[in-house]
Amino acid sequence: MVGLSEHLKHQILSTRTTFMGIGPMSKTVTRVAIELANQYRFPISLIPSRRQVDAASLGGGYVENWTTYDFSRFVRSLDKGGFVLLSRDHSGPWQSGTNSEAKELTFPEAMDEVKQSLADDIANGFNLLHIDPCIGMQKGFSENDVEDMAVELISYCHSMNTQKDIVFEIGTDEQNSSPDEVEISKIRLDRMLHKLDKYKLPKPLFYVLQTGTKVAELRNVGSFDQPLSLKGSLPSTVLLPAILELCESRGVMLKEHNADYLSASALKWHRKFGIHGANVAPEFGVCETKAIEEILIELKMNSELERFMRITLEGGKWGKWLLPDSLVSDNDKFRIAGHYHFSNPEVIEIRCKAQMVGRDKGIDIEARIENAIHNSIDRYLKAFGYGQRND
Amino acid sequence: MGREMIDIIILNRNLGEVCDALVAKLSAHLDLELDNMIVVDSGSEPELKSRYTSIGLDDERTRQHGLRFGRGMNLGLEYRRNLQKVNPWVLLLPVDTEIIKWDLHRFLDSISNQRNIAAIKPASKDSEYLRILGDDEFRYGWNFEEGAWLISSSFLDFHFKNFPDSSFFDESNFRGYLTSLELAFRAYINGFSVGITSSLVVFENETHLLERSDLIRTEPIGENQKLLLEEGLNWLHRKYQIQDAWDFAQLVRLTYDQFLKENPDLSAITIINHGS
Repeated sequence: MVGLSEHLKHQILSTRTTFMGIGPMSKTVTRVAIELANQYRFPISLIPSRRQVDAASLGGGYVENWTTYDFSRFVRSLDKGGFVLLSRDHSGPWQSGTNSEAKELTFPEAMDEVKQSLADDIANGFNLLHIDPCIGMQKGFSENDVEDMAVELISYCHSMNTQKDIVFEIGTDEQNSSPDEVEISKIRLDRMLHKLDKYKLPKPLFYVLQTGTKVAELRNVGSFDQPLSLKGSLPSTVLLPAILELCESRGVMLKEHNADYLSASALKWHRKFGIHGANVAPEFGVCETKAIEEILIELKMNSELERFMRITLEGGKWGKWLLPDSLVSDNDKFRIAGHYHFSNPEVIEIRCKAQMVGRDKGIDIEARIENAIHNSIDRYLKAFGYGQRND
Repeated sequence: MGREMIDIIILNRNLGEVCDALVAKLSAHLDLELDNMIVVDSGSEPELKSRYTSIGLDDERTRQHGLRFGRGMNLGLEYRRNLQKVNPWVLLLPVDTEIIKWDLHRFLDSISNQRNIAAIKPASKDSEYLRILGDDEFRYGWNFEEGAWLISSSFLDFHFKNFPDSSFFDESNFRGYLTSLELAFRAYINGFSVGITSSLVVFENETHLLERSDLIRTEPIGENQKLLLEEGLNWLHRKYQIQDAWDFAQLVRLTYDQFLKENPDLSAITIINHGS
């Protein structure tokens, strides 16, 4: 019987599709992503971070206040064709969850917490686990320590996964505006594979390397998509083929993170280069917020829009997305971070009211929001090769 | 071999003092005859010309918009062709270039037996390429930054012999978008090659452009980049019917890959070694 890893690899390589990971930024984004995967009859992965969705015992996440169980049930109930893989994004110690934010966890506490989260992922049928202990570097641990953390977590998951049908993604470095240097990546990847082999643990299906994509504010500021070369950086056209060759020579697939806001040209080159997988997340949350903003303006619901904006600005979640010395307006801060507050009761109330006001005027507000998200996700899927097969 | 290996063309626009300082520094490095140093003036105000100016234009259009890299260097190359004696290499320098490391003569001597090198990129001091070069003096590549270039006389001779009606740089690409890529393309497609060296390290001091664009009489850097891109894409569409820089880069890469196929022994000295 062909396992998930081999099956997915075959599907990606035989169709030269860039396998898409979609951030479930909201219930609507999640639903639209599932619909599109079933429409194209080709796998996508939904990639909640632990901040978005987490185990009930760890307080759940900010998206719909979903626990891992709720999220899994919701997806499985809609995914009639079985084209959606549940994929945990950035699982590692200190990768948040409510508990981590409440107090500074010691290393053993943080490892216990992430194991609790991973055990719940496995119990709820997750297919792909991205193990990312890179925050350990910020806590003073060495690169070697962080790699050992990844090995320990994979070993833990492997022992919990009795069916041995879960596949892994490893990425132990942070997003950067330039692609990774090949020689350094080669050393790191070889070291990681050697450690996994030593403990007879499975090779990861995906390996995360920096391709020069980085999200800040409402754009991609990495070197990948710059029309003029960034000073000091090697052009992506030079590095990416070498990075891909490295991954292929080691039997792993390249996963690109932070592919949000890339231009049509940059997306087109994903298939041309043969990038195996790419994740997009905040752009779809921003798309939904912008759609709501437009509707509230159209319906002249100015006080409701102001309330939603105030909640977002006071929430401060936009802060981590700003560039140094940013001149971004309050309106853009709202667009950047509105989605963090979709499950706030006040925002739910505003959205319900808009739906009622819209209905009176013959406008289906939710359909319009869904349509905007559909187009936004579909831009990626089409460029990545979804829908190109003739079966 | 020594001092007679290289000619230099410097393109000045309204930075006479900066240009004179660069000439002085190069003279010190090179022990070079000033005859081998050509300063092209790009429509500078009279008091802002270099005292070493060899040739230039100061018609109304040039005073307004400058010559830019392609037209300016073409003028310098034409001037050089009329010199009694030219050296095997010519270094093209925008005036805001600062020399960080100069160890060229021995390097050029040692590289003279490498295969058909058309052009060598001096590494920028803050570039990833310089870090990758490490202790190596030279590696082959194909996609380098704009700015300074060392061009071999053999490639110039090849160009002027085979394409006598065309200037070395395409003057219809006024602001020089993708000039370095096109240079690599022309080299590889014609059986030459391109590489980068750590024996000459330069720094493009953008302070002049950032803080003195009014004095230089050019657009502020943001506006210049916008025009570079807009006009450059129009040039790319017109000349090659290629949609964007990505596609053009891959075309150049194909010619580079072909060069490596034909010269497999060189794959170990490429900027990125694709071997395991």
